[in-house]
Amino acid sequence: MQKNNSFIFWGISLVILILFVWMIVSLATPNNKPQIINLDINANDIIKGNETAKYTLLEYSDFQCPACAVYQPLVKKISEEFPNDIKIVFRNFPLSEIHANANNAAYAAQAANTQGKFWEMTEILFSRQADWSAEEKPQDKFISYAQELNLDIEKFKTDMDSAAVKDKVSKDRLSAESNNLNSTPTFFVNGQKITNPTSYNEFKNAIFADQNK
Amino acid sequence: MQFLPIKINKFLLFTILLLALIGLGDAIFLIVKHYLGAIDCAIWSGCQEVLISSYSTLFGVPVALFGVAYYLFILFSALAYWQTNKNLFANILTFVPSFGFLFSLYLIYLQVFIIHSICVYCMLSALSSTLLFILSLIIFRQYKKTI
Repeated sequence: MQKNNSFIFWGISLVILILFVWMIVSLATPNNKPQIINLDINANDIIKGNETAKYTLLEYSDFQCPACAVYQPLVKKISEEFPNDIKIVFRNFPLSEIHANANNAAYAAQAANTQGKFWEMTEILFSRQADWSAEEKPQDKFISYAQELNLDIEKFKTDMDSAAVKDKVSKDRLSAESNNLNSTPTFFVNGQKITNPTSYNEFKNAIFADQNK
Repeated sequence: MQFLPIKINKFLLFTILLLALIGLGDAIFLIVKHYLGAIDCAIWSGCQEVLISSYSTLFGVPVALFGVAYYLFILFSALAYWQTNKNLFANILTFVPSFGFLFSLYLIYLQVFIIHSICVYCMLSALSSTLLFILSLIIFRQYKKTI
C-alpha cells in the first residue's frame, strides 16, 4: 500500500511538472501573431531611398538600444543594395524608462537631420553607443560628433534643445505606442510586422517575402 | 553518514515547493530565450544583452541550465521530504540553498558591475534563490531551538 501511495505521489508530481514546463516554454516562445499597421508616412518622417519604391521598411528604433545598434549596419547594407526597391523610414522609439540618454540621442540625430546629416549621425551614435550611453551629460559627446560631420555647431546646439525636435521625437514615440509596440527595434515591411531577423539574408528574405511565394 | 534530525513543517515545505517552482519556471524561460536569441530591448524586461553576453554561459553551458538543475534538485528534495520524512532531504533543504544564494550573488555582481545591465528574469531567479536561503536559515534556527 505504501509503495502504491508513493507511486501515485510521484506520478502526480511528474505530470504537474511536465504541464508546468510545457506552459513556460510556450510562454517564452515569441508569438508570431501577424500585426499590420497603417504606416501613415508623412512629411515629418525621415526617409532614405526611392520615395516610390515598392517596399517600405519602417524601423522603430532607440539609439541607446544595443540590439538596434546591431541592426544598424544591416539596414544600411539593405538600403545600399536596393536603393530603388526599398524605402527606409526611421522613427524614434526611445525607451527612456530603461535608457537614460535615449531621448537626448534622438534629439541629436534629429538636430543633425535639420542639416541633412541624419543618417551620418545615426551611424556614429550607434557605432559609438558605448561611449555616450553612461554619460551624465551626453550632449558634449554629441556636439563632438556634430563637429566631425562639419555641422554648424551653434545651430546644432539650438536644434537639440528646440521644441520642434523634441516634438518630432515624442510624436514618433506616440505612434509606436499607439501601435502597441513595446520593444526596439521593431520592423515593418509595407505595414506588416516582421520578426527580428538573425542574419542579413534572413532580413532580405523577410522584406521580399511576397516574391518568394 | 549522519544527518541532523531536522524537521520542516508543512507551511515552510510548501513555501519551498512554490519558490522552487517559480525558480524552475523562470530558469526554463531564460533557457528558451537564450537559444531563441531574438535580440531586442523591451520597455519592461530590458535588453537581452545579459542573455547574449559571454557571461551567459559557463563551461559552454547556459547559466540558466544550472538554475534548472538547482531548482529541480530543490523541488525533488522537497517532494521527497514530503513523501518520506527522511533527514537526508531535510538536510539538503537546509544547507544546499546557501550555495544557490552565493551563486546568485555572483550573477548579480556580473550584471551590475561587469555587464552593466540588469535582466529582470535573472533577478527574479536571484530573488527566489535568496528566499530559499532565508527559509533554510529559518529551518536551521528552528532546529537549533529544539536541541
